[in-house]
Amino acid sequence: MKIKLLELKFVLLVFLFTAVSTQSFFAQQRFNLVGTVVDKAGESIIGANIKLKEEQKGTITDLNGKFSLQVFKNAQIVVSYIGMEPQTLKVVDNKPLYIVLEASAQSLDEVVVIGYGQSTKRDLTGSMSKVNIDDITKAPVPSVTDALGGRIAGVSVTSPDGQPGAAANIVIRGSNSLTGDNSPLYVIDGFPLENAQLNATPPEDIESIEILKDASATAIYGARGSNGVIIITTKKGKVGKPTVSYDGSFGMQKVTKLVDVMSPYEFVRMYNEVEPVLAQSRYFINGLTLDSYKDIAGTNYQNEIFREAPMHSHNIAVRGGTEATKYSVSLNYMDQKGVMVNGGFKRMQGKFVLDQEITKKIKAGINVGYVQSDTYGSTPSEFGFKAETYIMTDVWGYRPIGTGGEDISEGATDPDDLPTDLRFNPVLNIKNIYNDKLNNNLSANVYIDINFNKYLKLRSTLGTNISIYKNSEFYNSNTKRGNPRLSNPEGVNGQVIYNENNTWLNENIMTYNRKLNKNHKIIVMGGFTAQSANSSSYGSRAINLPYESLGLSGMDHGKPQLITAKTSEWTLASFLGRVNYDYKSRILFTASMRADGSSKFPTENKWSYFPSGSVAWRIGEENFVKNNFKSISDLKLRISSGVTGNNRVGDFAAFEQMAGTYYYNGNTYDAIVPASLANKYLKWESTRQDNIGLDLGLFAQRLTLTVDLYNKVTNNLLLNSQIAPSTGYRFAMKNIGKVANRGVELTINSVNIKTKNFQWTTNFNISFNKNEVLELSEGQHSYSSSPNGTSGTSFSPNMYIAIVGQPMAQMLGYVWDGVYQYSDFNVTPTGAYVLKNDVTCNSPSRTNVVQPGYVKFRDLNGDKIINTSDLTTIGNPFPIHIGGFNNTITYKGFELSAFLQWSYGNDIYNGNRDIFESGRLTYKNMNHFATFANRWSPDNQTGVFPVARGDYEGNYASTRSVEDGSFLRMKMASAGYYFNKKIVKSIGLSKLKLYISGTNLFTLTNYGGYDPEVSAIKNALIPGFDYSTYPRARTFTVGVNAEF
Amino acid sequence: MKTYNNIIKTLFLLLVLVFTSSCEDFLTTTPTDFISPENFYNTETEADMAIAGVYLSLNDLYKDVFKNGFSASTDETVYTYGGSANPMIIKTFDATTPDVYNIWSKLYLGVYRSNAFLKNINKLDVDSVKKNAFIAEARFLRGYYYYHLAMLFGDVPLRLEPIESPINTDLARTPREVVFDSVCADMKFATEHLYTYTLQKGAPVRACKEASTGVLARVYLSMAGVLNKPEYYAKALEILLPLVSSQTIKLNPDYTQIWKNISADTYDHVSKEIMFDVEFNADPYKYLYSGWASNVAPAAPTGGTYNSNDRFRVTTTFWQYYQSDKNDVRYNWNIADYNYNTTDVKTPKAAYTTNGSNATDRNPGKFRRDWEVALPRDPSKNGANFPILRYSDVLLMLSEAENEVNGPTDVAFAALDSVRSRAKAFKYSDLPIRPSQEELRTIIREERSRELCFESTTRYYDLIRWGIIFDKFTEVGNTLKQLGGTNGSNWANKLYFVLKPQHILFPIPQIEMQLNSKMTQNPGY
Repeated sequence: MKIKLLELKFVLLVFLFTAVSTQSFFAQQRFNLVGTVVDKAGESIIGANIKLKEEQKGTITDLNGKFSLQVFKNAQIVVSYIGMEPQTLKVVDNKPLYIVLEASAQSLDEVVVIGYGQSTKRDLTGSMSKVNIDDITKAPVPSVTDALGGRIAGVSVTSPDGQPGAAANIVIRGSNSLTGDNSPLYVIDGFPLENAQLNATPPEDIESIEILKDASATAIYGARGSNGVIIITTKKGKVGKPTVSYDGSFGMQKVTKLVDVMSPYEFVRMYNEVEPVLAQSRYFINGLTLDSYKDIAGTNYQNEIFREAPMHSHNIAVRGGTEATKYSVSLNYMDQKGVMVNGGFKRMQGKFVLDQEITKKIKAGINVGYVQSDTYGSTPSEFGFKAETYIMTDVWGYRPIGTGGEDISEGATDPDDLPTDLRFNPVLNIKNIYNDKLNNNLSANVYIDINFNKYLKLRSTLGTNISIYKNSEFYNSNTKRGNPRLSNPEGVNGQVIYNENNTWLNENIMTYNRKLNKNHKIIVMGGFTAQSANSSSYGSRAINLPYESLGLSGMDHGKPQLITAKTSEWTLASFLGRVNYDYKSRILFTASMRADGSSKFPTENKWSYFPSGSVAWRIGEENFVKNNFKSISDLKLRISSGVTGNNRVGDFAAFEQMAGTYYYNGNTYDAIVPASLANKYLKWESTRQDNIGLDLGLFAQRLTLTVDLYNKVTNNLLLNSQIAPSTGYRFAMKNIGKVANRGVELTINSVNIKTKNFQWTTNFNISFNKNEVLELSEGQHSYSSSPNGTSGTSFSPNMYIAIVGQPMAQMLGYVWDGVYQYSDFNVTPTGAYVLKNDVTCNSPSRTNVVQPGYVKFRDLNGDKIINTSDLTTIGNPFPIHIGGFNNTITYKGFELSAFLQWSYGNDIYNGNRDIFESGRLTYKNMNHFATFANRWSPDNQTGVFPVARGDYEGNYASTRSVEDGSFLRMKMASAGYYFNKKIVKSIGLSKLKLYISGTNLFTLTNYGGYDPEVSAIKNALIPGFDYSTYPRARTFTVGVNAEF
Repeated sequence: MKTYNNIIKTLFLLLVLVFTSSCEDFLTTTPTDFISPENFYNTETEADMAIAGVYLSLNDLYKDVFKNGFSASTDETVYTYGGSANPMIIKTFDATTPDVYNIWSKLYLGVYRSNAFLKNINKLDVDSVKKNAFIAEARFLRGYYYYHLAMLFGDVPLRLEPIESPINTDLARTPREVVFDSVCADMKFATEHLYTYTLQKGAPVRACKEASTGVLARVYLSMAGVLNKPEYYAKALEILLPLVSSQTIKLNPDYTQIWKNISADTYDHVSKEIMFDVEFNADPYKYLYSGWASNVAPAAPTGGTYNSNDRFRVTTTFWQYYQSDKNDVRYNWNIADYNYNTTDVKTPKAAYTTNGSNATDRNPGKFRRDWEVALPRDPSKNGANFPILRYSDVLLMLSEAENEVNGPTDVAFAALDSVRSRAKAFKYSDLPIRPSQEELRTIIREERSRELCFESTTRYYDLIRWGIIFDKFTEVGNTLKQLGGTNGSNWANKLYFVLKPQHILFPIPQIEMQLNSKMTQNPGY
């Protein structure tokens, strides 16, 4: 019995021991390791491989990116996924791992954001481009759009001039719309905004930018997709311990170029030729002769108003989280002083992003951002009812010296000016202008993701965007617009206008993603969205303010003027659907359809349907390629076609509107008049686009090439078109006209050299676009526009023209034929010069007194007189091709990068020359460009420009002011150094980069104005016009990126 | 879990259904910022505002193209500005001339506004007298706009309904006579239903019965001449006689006071001589200023407080009209005997020392700026109203119609002399031998110029309806040439030998030709 008990005890003991020792043995040898694999954006990676390095053992991640694996301590595991850089880790303990895989360069599996979803480069069937954020932000820029130019084929980015805070004009694959808006639709964190203010998003906060170009990509945005779509995704929280990152930079900006103006000597010499009698009493007094003025320096006002201006920006962010909770908090501050005194751009932003897993199947998140941006100071290209009212007109045109050579740079107005003269001391004016554009923007989005099962997922979002824009202007008595004088009966004046825009959006998108078997994969997406916006604008203006020192607060004491009060709203409801089908990863089909209903259109035209279809054949996966062309790593042919729309018309353009005011017999009656005609047939503008593209990858994607050919035809243009005036209207909103854009785009990316320590990459892109007007209103052959609008007080009223069969904008004018020479005249017995009968006279009536040295134009119809029949197209503002060329070299921690941008074959109308190289009586008291010294005179018969007073006194355009706007610009160069990890760690950081960079380093161009990248007028019909623009600055920056 | 899924699926479906059914409501928005005809014309005040809008076209026309372009290069004034000249004035216009388009489109805008008013006014719930008075105002204005279209362009598209949409708007021309008939029909209705001057609120800016009668008489006289139908003189006489004998409207006893009132922007509701005028307001921010002041007032240096552009001088021909009676107060009023020689308002004006010998150096002086109350004077604008119909015109029309129908009767002389005696000129009825019918015709033609000179289209239309425009042009041109000097022959060549017979009708604007496929061009363009 005792033995039995003992036996039992032993057995038990052994068992226990065995159990314990087994336990301890196993604990030492193998244990269960769990972990999660995600990509850079924090999205789980499904199907990533986890392998033990030493043995043939491994697993793959599940739907949530999770895995579990029996491992030894100190075992090495390799985590890999196609298109991602593999990672090797050493297992230290059994704490759950969180592994972030980075996409490998130029990978086909790089994740790209598409409309209402995600895809990979491999699976794309349409034409879209992902912007390499790291590349474009190597030199700090206030707004990403400043850096986007030349980076992406088919995307033309033109900033109007160098004004800080000025929004760049982005046109994708050519302008479609004549009188409508041609800017793309912006989708920021899923929120589509037609009037997005891109300078409100700090570049440091942007995770990715995708540009959708062809209809296959954009048709899912239906009625708003025809100008292309730019999707911006901001940074989110990442799993891991909190990382604090700081990006800071400090830069100095300086204008790249000044325009030479006349010295006092040259000015007086010219004045003496324009107005010899007055010149005697003004300049040749007190014993002064012309030569005396050679010793007077005078004032060049450009030196007074331009400065070296600092720019600095700071971005601090804390990002981190667990698998269940991810967060990101960021703060940004940017302060850019303008190179023109008393102006600049400032921005502050705070942002909070939270993603939370609620249950295994439900995830939710919130994204809240608040931005305040402030643009202030003079805007040279604004306020232009007449040439003399612009800022730069005074800067160039104010006299360098006054009567008798005195210094007039201190006084408010030129003492010799008539009281009606508009000119004003530019320095005083610019220093005293108060023009402040303050924008407060709050955006808040919440979403919920529900995974019903492995295949079916619903995402529902609710978002709002509230923007309050305040424009305050105050003109004190030291400003041109506020100085009380005869030409300014308004005296000291000011205005404040508030604009409020509220948009809300609800989207509900269901996605079904299933691999049916080895060969068939299908993704079905469907949903509906509703968006609504209301806007209001309230403000007032007052003139003759008696208490100047009160500033805008004194507006209540002034004489009240127009009160602004406007409200409007629109709504949009949409149903959308898309099917992607993938056969053996070789043939890919995408079909999409969107139905949009808009409040802007009358009942019968409210709804419209925008279909698209595309197919891609991955030829590179076919055996005949795989076997015969080993160097080809990818070859894909894409064909797409689809229809998109444009609804950029007034919210109530289809309604008959009544408006007006009339004072009447002493009693104030508002007079109400029909102001615009109802058009119950108004509908969407629709654009049909066909695209053929080819993607080629060679040498394991070291060299990739993308070519796209497109043909885009826009029909039923929403055109504010002319109608027969006998109807009682001159213009009405109609769907009329047709515009085509055809083009080719080529992008080449190459990793030229790649060794362990050294890498050299090159990116190149070029795009050609040809724009053509196919139709205008019935019977209409052309459509004219002028920078001045129709009133045209300083520039020709039909300076720009859209002609059927030609581009939508060309410059129209006379062909300049130099000047009349003595040989063109007969001399009468009294010594007078009379134009020979066989010589063309530069005006409609031959009785006009043409004299030697007068401006001469070419007679095109042979009637020997110059009139409107001699007008011809004299310039094409559209480039033949544009592009960019970028090189980056890294060696160990060093990084060098240089980016060239160009535009070739476009003309610019340099309106400045019409005024400052004219020598007209009208502008006699204004200084001129130094170039005008080379004018015709009896002593200088080879002079290029007309004799003083020999220019035509009227508004006309001629080839004289048309210049080649081609340029090649070193837009950006930077040199950076990533400190060695060990050093970085020793000072408590995890990453440290220091860099210096420069933008606008040099520009090769023949253009004579400040800068060839110019388009002063925001109108698709008047591109490439330069008058009184803000010069562009060259910027040198030092900066730091640090993480800890 | 399955139940849970089902709940969500159901909710989702429900949401879709709710959303779809309310979609049409969601997509229907109502304008909040502007008035639509649908929500207007409901009260009398709204109707007042809407009819004010129909008058607004007059303002557009008279502040711009109608202000002085027509009196220049008639026998009254010559355009002497050295710079580039308006083609309307020097008669070099063609279909692309901006002012041809402006006149055409502004008149048709007035027509459209009248038509839109007439279409919508039916909604107004007031008694028939009031409603008919509103209709009468709109028809008066429509008639007035078509009168100018017919006079200037001949056959024109006749639209008596507003267009509903910008699609399919082509319309062919209607014969001139039919257009005139439509004008008469509108004016007759207006005459019947308009309030009298005394009862019409806002007269003379708002049309009254008397004004409508006078304008209808003007239309009849034009028809008699232009359509070559003398029977219309009798029709004019038929309506003018009762108007004059009713004595409801009188002449202002002082000719100069009319223009002083205009300058001061005040009304003479006692005599009511100005029966109909165009309202302007000095406030430049309402854009209702009148721009003619600076062009047809006595010359003044640029930059001064009076500023006149000095673009017109009176012709020798016109100067001659006053030589028969230099006591006529209109002589030195309408032909300024001075100019402003300084920018300073306090400095006295410079009087001309020579009269006659340098007649062509004298500016029109009818519209003077001395009495303006809105100070400081804007150099190029003022708020003075512009007269469209004065009682003296009515009297002269009566005299003319009577002379054409019944010869040089007492009635004809009485009307003529009442206008002359007001101006302190001798009376023709006092002459020992009274003029014959033919002589009286010439006298009236000159008298109309003496009295009504520079008043927009009046003289131009008179010369056209009498069929003497070419004779007059040649006469003026030759006088100018005889005057000699560079100026004389330059102006003469520039102005008076350019017009060709076919240019009596303006060209149809190019844009109308392009956009209205049923339109045809007037001959000679």
